Amino acid sequence: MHNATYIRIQPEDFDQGAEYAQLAQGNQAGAVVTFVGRVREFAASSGSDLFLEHYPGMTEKVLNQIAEEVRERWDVGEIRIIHRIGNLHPGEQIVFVGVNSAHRKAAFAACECLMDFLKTQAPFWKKEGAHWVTAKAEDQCAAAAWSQHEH
Amino acid sequence: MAYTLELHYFGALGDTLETREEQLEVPESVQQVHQLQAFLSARGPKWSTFSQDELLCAVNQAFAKGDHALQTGDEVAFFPPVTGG
Repeated sequence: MHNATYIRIQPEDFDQGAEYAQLAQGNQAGAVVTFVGRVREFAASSGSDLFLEHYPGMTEKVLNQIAEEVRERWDVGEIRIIHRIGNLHPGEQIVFVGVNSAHRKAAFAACECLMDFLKTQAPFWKKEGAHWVTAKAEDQCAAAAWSQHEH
Repeated sequence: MAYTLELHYFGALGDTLETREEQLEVPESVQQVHQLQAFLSARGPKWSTFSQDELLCAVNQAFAKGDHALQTGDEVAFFPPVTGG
């Protein structure tokens, strides 16, 4: 199991199966946990796109920092994060987070924590049609809860 | 002496200001991020968001608080709370 972190920011879709295949290589990774976030229907969605803006350069830096923070807390092997940008339709994939580790507790916790930190720190902004989405307080609470998390 | 910053505005903020980036000359008295925010809020009606709304700041692509010291040539970004994922 090797401890590499792979971050991709891209407009094109990703293949969850191919990402899993990377995480499942070798005999050390007893546990693989993956998450996919998708575009939900939104009020103006008939005929409207979801647009994902990002801060080129800073997004990669922040995601690498988040991955490093997660490595300090849990014994995980490979981390793979993909986040799409640009115009997307309801039902499309937006984000992939995958983690492997020797045992499942670390993999589950690390994957959830990566998503909670991504949602509150990574410089992306969503626009549903003409309306910019506003950040949710519950995401801040979820991210803050990891500071008190016993692991 | 006045100096120059590279400003970026993301998300709804960019729409409000009708600009997403600019080279901005600021007076020497603007030394920290909170002073830059005050300076920007005085530029005109669209810019009052800098004194009214919750905005995050990054300097040279790292999150920065109000007391972060600014230097000539810094890349400074302002944006609403993030909504990725």
